[in-house]
Amino acid sequence: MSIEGSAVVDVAFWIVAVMAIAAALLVVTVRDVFKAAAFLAAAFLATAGLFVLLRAEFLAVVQVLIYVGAVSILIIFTVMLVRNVPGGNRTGGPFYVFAGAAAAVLLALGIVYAAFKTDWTDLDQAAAGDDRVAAALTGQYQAEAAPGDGGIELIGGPAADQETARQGVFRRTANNLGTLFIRDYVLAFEVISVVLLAALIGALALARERGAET
Amino acid sequence: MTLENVLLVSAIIFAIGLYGVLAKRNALVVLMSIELMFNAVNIAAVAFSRYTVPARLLDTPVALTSDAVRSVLTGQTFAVFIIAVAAAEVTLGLALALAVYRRRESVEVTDLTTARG
Repeated sequence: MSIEGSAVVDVAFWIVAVMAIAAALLVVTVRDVFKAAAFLAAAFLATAGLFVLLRAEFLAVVQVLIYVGAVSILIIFTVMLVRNVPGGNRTGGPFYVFAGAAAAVLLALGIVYAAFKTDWTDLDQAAAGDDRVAAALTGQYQAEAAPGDGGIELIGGPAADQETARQGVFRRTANNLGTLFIRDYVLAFEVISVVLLAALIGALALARERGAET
Repeated sequence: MTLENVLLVSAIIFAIGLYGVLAKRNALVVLMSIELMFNAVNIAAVAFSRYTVPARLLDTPVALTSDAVRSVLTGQTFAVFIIAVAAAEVTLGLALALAVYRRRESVEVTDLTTARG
């Protein structure tokens, strides 16, 4: 039994969405750069809430750990290191404000128009209506790893209803993501490790005090 | 809560980030706005993963439920990679801002008109 589809989820979604948008707006409007950084952390937290509502629990945890826990702290530290920022959170002048606002509004309108105009193939409806999709997504999971596959295997007959399909897809998300990383996306996974190492070394080299060289 | 509503939220946050990048003078605030845009993209990727069927499932039915489930989760995988790239980007950006501040006592992008040290 899940509460998905009920009004509770809708209300929670709009609360979190308004929090995220308000925090994002405050980031670009408050005068104090330090406060902007704090509101950025709030926007990241609200995004984590959105992830939970979108059945991405693992991503929500990652979001809190990396964005709220690491990136926000890093930005706040830098704001404190860059003392008495002249002018604070200034804009580039009326022209830049107008051009930026116009570009932002146009882009948002374009994306929203495309989002509402496009006929998306809905996962829930497809799971309920399309036999192949339902057969692929539903069924009972075998707890033990199947030999040769290393993953979970379909053993039961398909039960073509939305609720089963939904719960089948978004159950054990972290397990399936882990399998994806070390099998389907293993090259990207290794490359991103090297990118992170390069960024770490590059940041150390850039931020080193010039006089500290020995 | 539908795909369109989530995309609406994502588009608004992305537009706010774009405004910040274009209109703000402080390099740190520009970096924060870029992070907002990364976040909006993550929201969209996760929403697509939650609400749409991968073409692979519609074209050729896959035999194993685990394969089907993984193809649905592609969007979430994408979001994890975006988070990793964004973390690397913000680290370098902040280190650059600090290095520039040491030399020029300013982090305003209008002061950075030359690439020479």
